[in-house]
Amino acid sequence: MKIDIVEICGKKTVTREDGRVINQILMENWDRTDQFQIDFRNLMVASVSFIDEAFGSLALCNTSSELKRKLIFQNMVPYDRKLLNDIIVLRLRQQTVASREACSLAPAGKNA
Amino acid sequence: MVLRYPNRIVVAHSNQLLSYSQQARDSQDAEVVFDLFKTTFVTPFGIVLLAGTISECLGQGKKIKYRPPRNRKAKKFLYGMGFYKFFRFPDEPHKLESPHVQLRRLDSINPLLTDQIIDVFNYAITMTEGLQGSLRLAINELMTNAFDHSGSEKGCYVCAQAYEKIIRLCVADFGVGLLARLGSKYDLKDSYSAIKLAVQEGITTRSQQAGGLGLWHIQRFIKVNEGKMCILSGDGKALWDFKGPKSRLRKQTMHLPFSGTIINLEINVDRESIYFLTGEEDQIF
Repeated sequence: MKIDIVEICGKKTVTREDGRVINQILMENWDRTDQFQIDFRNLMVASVSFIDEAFGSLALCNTSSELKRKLIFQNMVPYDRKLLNDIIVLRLRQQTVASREACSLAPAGKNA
Repeated sequence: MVLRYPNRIVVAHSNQLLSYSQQARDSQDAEVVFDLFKTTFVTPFGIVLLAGTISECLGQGKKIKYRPPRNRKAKKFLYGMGFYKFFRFPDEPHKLESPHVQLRRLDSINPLLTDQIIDVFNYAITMTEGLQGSLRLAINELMTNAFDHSGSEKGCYVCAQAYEKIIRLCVADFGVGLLARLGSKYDLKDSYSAIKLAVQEGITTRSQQAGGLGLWHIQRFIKVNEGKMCILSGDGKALWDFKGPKSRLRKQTMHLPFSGTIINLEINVDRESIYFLTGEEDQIF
């Protein structure tokens, strides 16, 4: 599944609310999609809030290898890629059995 | 009511200073005098505490009188840190030479201000971009907690200053305090327990969102830097001093409970080392 950040978000790539739009698409399609190709078209996001909300919460529910297998980040500027990695690493460290269980109980489209 | 401030408005005198703040806010007097005449030294902790207290009193409709320090250096420092500008007191332009973040009140995340704070940190230490990014995240989270989840509608106060050997950063809110924030979710016996819990990984006041990175990550950073972190909330005060091989946690109980939470950081200037995230080499994407 292709997710074009520029097409979906336009200039709304700053707040948590903006990030939630992408997170909802991912959550709603997570189980039935093999791979997400997330294209940033070299747009510089540089927003911790956006990236954490869009992708960070996935790291509370999935393993590093699951994330690596399912999420392909294309045309992402190095700054954003570093930010993404930092956030994912931090969120993966936070993952507990309870947080994974909460993910499976959460309705599609909601953050765990 | 006249509050005569001591010689040093610093975190070490927090018992007296927080009592003053609470007395000013609880007072039924129509007028409160903030007398800093004898003050010779103020830190960012003192500035945010004074600013928040004065703002609270003004919000209650009290009349405020301010007596500036006699000490020229202290007065200039307050000018330079934007204290006079903040309250539109008669100002004298004075630019501080070392990096600093002027007193600000925030009610939402301000990425430029977070960048300014990181710039002040960069003056003191050499950090990888990965660490800078994660500290940005942690500072944003601290501020989000303050204005979004503390119950305070008045936002949070921030100010930072680089000194020759140390950086001081203070973030404060005048909300309900950590015990009230965390008490509904966790079983806690007092403010000190709430403070200790708040610095643990993954502890958050949010029920529907991820969080709990801020204090935990900042504490990790301060530990590596052998700096100090002090959190004051309610009648609790916890001071982590990471200097030397044995870190110490000191507990103190305030005479008068303070409504709100103050986080005061002291970061050592260390230009010899390079600071990076553990596992930074493990890039997932």
